[in-house]
Formats: sequence, structure tokens, C-alpha cells
Amino acid sequence: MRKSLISVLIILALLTLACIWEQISVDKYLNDIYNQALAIENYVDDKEDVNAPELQAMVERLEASWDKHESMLCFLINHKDIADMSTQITFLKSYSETNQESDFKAALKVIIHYTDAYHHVMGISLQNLI
Amino acid sequence: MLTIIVRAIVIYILVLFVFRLMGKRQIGQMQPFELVLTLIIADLATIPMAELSVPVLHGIVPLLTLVVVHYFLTLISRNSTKFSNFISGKPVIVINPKGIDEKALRSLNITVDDLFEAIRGAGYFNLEEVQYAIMETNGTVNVLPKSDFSPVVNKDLKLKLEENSIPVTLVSEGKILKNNVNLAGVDKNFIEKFMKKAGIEKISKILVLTLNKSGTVYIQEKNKEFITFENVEV
Repeated sequence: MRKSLISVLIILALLTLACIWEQISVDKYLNDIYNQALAIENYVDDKEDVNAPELQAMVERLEASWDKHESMLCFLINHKDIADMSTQITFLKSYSETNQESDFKAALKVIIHYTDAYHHVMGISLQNLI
Repeated sequence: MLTIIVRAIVIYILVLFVFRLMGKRQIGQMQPFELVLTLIIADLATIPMAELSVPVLHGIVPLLTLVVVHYFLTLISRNSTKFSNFISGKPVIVINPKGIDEKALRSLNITVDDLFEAIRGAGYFNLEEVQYAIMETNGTVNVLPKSDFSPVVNKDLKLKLEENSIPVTLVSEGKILKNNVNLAGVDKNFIEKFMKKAGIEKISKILVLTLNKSGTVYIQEKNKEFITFENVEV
């Protein structure tokens, strides 16, 4: 009885920690990607040049950030979504290098949508609870 | 493929741990909701095993959450009769000395045929043999027969018999069970003595050796017939 109670309390503590860790880390990393993607979108809207070195540097920073956090996000996010994000970021880089503005914008929209939508899907809200 | 194997091992260990924590009730002893819970756990466990795109945590977290909730529900049920009745229901008398209680059957949503089946399962084929039948919370029906149909026991015959005792297994499949040896108050020499008497060369060749309170030693060598020694002094 005592042993099982201790086991259950440990499980409860681990579950609580896992929830807090998920909320904090996923929020932090996806927000980071979201903000970087928004900055790129603003830059493209202002300059209308997807081949600019400054923009390419921003895309590389976005890719580096994603690569850095990808393995950790694998613990918490569906791997298919992560693979989709990786693909879109790779496309983004490629479109920037080949100066394909419309495709670049489309890939950027997908990245923004993924990072933003994840909060709506996985975050704590009444809509998600029901 | 290796990922699937590792995931399967992780989930297997987790499910093993979860079921140990949930207790040793057999399927027939489970409350209906416990059975459903077991099925849900089994289903949840297969998701991260079969679907590689799902993180293992997405399988583990709901599984452990259910275990925690179930544990606390059981804990509250144990301390509160009202709560226990709410969760598991109450045993219901379905047959009383007046006959079948139709109202009770309706409330339990069972038919007379179901009741007959359950009574036959309890070993009674005629309704007139039954004084009371109770539908337990886990769905089994227990029967109290009328005195005329109760089996005769030693007390009825006024026989004075020695109390039975559970035999202690001292050796099982060639291995000495030290705790049992201590419990029986014997030692390795005791085992070796009967091993020699039975013509067995090594302890590893013993399939089983038991000793009961009345001093009977049962010894069986692997692939051989058993031998017993009566009135052994311990």
C-alpha cells in the first residue's frame, strides 16, 4: 500500500513535470521560430527581394534555430509535423537562393501557420479540452 | 525496425509496471469499468508501438494518467462506502425466499435466462434449491442454497479432523527456496536427507519437495514419479 502510494505520487510528480516542461519548452521554441518567420515575412513585404543576402542570413538563422531544437521537440510533437516543418524550412532556403518569390512566400506562410496553429491545437484552452 | 523493437520493449516494461500497480485482480473479479480501463490501457500502449510518428510520451502520459486516477479512485472507494457504492454499485439480491425479484432484474438489465445461466454456473440447476442469489458488483452471482440442499460438511457429521495446512515448498525445479526453508524451520541437511532417501543425487534434479504441518514430505525427481514420507520429525 505504502509502496504503491509512493510509486503513484512519483508518477504524478513526473507527469506534472512533463506537462510543465512541454508547455514551457514547446512554447519557447515554437515562439522563437514563429517570431523569426514573422520577421522574414515583414522583410519580404518591405523589400520585395527574396534573394537579398540579409534575408538569406535570416533564413539560415531560422534553419539553425530549428535544427537546434528539433531533436528536443521530437519528444513532444508528432514526428510527421516536425518532418513537414523541416521540409518547409529547407524549401524556404532553396526558394531564397533561386529567387522564387511566390514559392518563398507560400513556404513562409506554411511555417507561420504550423507554429501558430500548434498553440491552438496543443495549448490549454476550453476548445481543446472539449 | 530497431526503433520499433526499442519502443516495444519500453512500452512492455511500462505496461508490466502499470498492471503490477493496479493489483492482481483477475478478469472475472474486475468491476466493469476496470475491465474497460484495462482495454483502454492495452489500446493506448499499442499506439506509439505501431505508429512511429507518435512520440512515445504521447502513449506514456495518458497511460500513467489513467493509472494515477484509478489509484486515487480506488483509494477513496476503500475509505468511503458511499463513493464505493457510486463507483461499483451494490450487490443486489436477485432471488429471495419468495422467488425471483423482477424489479431487481430490471434494474440490473438482465433477463431471467441470464439469471438461470448464472445460477447454473454456480452449480444449481433448480430454482427451488436456491434460498438467496446475489448479483455481486463484478457481475458474478453467488447462491445460498436452502438448508435441504446444502452440502453436508464434516461438522454436520460431528467428525473431529485435524486442521489442514498448506504444504511449504522447500525445493522447486532444482532450487532451494530459502525463505520457505526458514519458515518451515528446517535446513539444507533436512533436504539432503530426503534427497538421499529418495535416491536423488543432486538438488538440481529435484522437481519439487514440499513439507506440510502433519510431517509429510512429498518429493519428486525430474521425469520420475513422486515419493512421500509420512510422520517426519522436523
